[in-house]
Amino acid sequence: RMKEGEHIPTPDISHITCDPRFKDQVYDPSEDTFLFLDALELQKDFLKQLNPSLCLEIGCGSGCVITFLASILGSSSYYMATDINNVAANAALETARRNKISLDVINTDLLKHLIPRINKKVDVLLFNPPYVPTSEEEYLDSIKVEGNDMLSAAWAGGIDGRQVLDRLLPFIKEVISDNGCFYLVVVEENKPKEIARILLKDGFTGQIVKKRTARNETLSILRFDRKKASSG
Amino acid sequence: MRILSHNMLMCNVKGCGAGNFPLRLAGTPVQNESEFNQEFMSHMYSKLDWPALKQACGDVGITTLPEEPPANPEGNQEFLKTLHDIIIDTHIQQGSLTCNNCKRVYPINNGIPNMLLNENEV
Repeated sequence: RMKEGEHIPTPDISHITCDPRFKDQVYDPSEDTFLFLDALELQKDFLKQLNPSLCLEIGCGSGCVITFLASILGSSSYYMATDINNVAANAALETARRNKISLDVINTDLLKHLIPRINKKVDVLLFNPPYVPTSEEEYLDSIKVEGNDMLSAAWAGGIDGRQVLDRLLPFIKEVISDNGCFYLVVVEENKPKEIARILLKDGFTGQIVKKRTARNETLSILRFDRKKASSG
Repeated sequence: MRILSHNMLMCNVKGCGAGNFPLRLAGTPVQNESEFNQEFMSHMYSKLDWPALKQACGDVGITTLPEEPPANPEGNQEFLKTLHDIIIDTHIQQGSLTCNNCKRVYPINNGIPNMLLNENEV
């Protein structure tokens, strides 16, 4: 990652590939992860002036992204993350610890058990979902609680790579605070315009923060904010 | 898991209704020390469910929480510092969360609550 000016270093994630507790069981930060970091770094000034109290990452995997966000914002915010994979949850805690970040990780599916308590409280919501288009069967197999391959739950997105995201979308309008925002990683196959239409109906405007094509994937980092009533 | 996170968790078992928040907390509180930020604590105060916080403190033997918040809590630095010590600096590493209603137990290991439900609970 090459940047000019004050550059925030990529969090130390060496344990994800080296520590036998995590090796091959946690999604290894890849192009999508690094694009997400680049996008958040671009959003540094916006995030600082937002001054969030609660930042939450859904499906944190290695914890790289939420840790990076915490490195930008510091101790003026509370950081939480969820992951359906217990090994990933432990890996994320280790990532936070190594990078001197305070993070609470909940081993849960999306935001189960946190809703409705977190309603209207999340100032920054982050989600790099399982976005790879697969058969519905492959997706359903990946989330079986027992006897599943946890790594495939990290990327198997079902039809149009949207089956996980679509379970979350109806709750965006409930959890995001009045001035809060939602950052989302998508690929073109996920039909980002359709996602934007759905969220627009719920009162959110979207923008592309960063886009990159790598290895036949066209990735975009989107940001959604609550539509503000026009002033004047 | 910090005490503030307990304040955000409820039981989502299929059919579990009234009484599923707050969860009963079990475990030995471990004290940490982090930077106090008054503006942040002031914002966090408004997100708290006070009775749930009181119950959590009672469950794990935290005695420093006042019975009631003071008048003008957001401006009371001493109160916010005490609150910070409890909700931000107190961790449960090993323990459990239990639903008062359906009695479902969610274990806490290495500070991570396992809230995954079985297929019949969803």
